[in-house]
Amino acid sequence: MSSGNEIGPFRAIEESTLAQLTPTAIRSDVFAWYTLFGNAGTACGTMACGWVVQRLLSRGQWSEVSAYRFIFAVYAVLGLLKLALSVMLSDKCEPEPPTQQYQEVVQLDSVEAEGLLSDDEDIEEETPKKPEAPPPEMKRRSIWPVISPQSQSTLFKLCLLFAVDSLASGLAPLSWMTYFFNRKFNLPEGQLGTLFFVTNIISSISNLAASSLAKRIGLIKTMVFTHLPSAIFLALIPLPSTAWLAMTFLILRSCTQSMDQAPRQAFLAAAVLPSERTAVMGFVNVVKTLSQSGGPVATGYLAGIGKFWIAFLVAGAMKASYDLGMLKMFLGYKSREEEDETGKRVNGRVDGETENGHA
Amino acid sequence: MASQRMKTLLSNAAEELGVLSILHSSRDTKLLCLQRFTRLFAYGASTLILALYLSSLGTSDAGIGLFMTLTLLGDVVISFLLTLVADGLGRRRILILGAALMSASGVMFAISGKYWVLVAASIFGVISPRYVAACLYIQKASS
Repeated sequence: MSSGNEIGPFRAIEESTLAQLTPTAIRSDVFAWYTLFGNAGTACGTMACGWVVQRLLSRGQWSEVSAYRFIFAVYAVLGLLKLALSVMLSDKCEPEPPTQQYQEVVQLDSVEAEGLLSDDEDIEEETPKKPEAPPPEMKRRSIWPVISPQSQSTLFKLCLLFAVDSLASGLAPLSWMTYFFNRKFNLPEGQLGTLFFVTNIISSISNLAASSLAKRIGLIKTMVFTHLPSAIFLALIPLPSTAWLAMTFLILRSCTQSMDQAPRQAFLAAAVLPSERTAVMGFVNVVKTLSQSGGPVATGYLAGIGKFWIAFLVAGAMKASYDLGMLKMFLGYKSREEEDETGKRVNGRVDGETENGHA
Repeated sequence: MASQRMKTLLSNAAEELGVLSILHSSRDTKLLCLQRFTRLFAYGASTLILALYLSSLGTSDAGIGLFMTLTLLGDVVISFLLTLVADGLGRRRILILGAALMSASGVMFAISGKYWVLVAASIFGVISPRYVAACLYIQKASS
């Protein structure tokens, strides 16, 4: 629930495309809304499905199997709708051709500028230093992406951190939490449903606040300062012996638990070159999914021996260390786009200082 | 005067929440957001009942658990491969392909009840059990 991971190729491609289509300044806004649309979609779909199935079954004429098959038929239709939407996308969604960059390099070299720009242009790994660039066709022929060394090391560190966070999410997934509340406080399913519906709504809305925060203090600080409190609240949940206090911690946690999602994706988009984004995001999704899958087994074992609370505590601690790790490794990290811009812009930073210098 | 202040307040709020950013974004951006909504709507619906559907077809709990593990692993592999080649083959093409697979697997689920057909359909169509639903089911099955 909290890591918001989704399986499938769509997310990585869509996010990479969005990053390309959106200027950096409003990227966190767009990602926040994109995330919100996703959460809203899931919530509405789940609700609609539940309602439809219930109606169909209550009439007594539909068997269970038929009712579920009807839903899958609707699913197929929705797939066609999505197909139609994809067909309507324009050329701008495709990765930008490298031709433009080559032209820039050639022009600069021929104009013989005072060397202001040449050093920075060379940072572009794909652009060779010689004035004659290899023809664009050569790049196009390879369909496998090339990840630059700098991105590789960034990716490695990020994947390590994300794996920790995802594993922690796997330790405390929604279903275990409902189970915990049910076991410890004997809360009935109806109340649990309402409780988690409320937390869902709160965390969805908080996405928008995240973007507003990110514009002020930067992506990394937003991610850490929102995620850290939620990790602490998560660790606190098993402690109280009264239901209302535990529920309070849960709700407080939900206020900020997904606020780091949109900034995280925006940061990831900015941290690597545009041509690497799709592949990187796909890879990160794999890491997150696989790490997350290790969690429930451990929690199941702990629940079985009556030590449920350890899972939440450990999950909270792991998430907190993820946050501190992000802070330490990536505060002050310059996005690849900002590095590529002219060397005159000295203080372009992702973490919080805007070009005007106010943090 | 009050209405003027109200307007300013609203427009400030709108800017804070990024409403203007999304409203003024390009058509493609809006299409992508709509796609996401559609897709996750479909996902939310299918994922709620996936385990129940399998159970109503007579699959054992262990079979359901296996189903979920297989589709998780298969989905991860396929999705990763598709994202690797997306930029090279064309992002829209892969999105369209993905949507077509999604639709096809919906059809398979609607017409067939055979276990392995459904496993294949859900891997290629990236129908996944909601991860948490899977956990709940497995937990129930093992208790």
